[in-house]
Amino acid sequence: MKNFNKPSRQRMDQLTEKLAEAYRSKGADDRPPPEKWRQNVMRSIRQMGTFEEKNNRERFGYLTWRLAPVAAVLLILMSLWIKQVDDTLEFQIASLIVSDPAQADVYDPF
Amino acid sequence: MQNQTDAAPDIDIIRHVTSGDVNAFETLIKRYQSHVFSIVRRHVPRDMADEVAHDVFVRAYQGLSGFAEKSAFKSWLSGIAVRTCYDFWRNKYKIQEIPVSRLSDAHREWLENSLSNDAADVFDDNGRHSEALEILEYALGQLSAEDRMIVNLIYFEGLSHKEAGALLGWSIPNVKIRSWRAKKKLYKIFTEGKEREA
Repeated sequence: MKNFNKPSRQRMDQLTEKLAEAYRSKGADDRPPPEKWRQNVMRSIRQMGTFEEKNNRERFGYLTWRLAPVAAVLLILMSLWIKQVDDTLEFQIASLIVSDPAQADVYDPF
Repeated sequence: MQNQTDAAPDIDIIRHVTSGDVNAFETLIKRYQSHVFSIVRRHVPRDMADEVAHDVFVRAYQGLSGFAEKSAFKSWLSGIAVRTCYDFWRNKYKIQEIPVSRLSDAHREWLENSLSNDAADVFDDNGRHSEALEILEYALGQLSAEDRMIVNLIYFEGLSHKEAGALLGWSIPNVKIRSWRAKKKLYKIFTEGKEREA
């Protein structure tokens, strides 16, 4: 009867070595890839553009993010300004109606 | 121009590429395609090797501006190749596309004989190479993407923890812990059939 309970360290090492051999044999195939494969890789790379184009795109992206907080602050300030102007305008129209209701006809089609 | 770059050192070609000559990158592909394929074929299934090697060179091109000239281009490219293979397996596990292979009776018998302390030396039998390959695929298929890479690099390629960590971009303690755990899992995979019998 075979002793199956606990494989010896030596047996485990031998098994690992045998599997390592099998593993290494997978990379032993040194056939060069077909020409078409290389052309496909180069096509993908050309589609990405030159480094100058890439750098310009990155610079644009960088500037966009750098300017984003400034744009947000401007947006808030403009909203506040528009709201203030709007309130003033409403107040002026209201005061016009109150002070001279006969003349203050806003809707006069003729 | 092509003839000039064919013999030029890697670093000169890299400078050409980064200054706008995209076509010069083809020289680097020709020079290192065999090296990249030898790495990729060991880590991923044969039918996926072309696709993964394609990704390796695309990633290398994308990262070329960050290439530190103090290291060799070949070892830098090896790191990209290993990490691309790792990402391939991570992606496979994420979409659960790992084929669940089973060991046949013949494989199990081979494994049991291999591990049996009383058995004759089965390792002299070169005709059992294909079975070893199938058992290897089965065992690796039971491991996570991280453990698979660690087992390949540490136990099958014989790299040090430092070398494996550099290739995968992991810290040395992380590699040490993972390799120890992966070895335990591998041991369990090889002996689980026998434990069940016992």
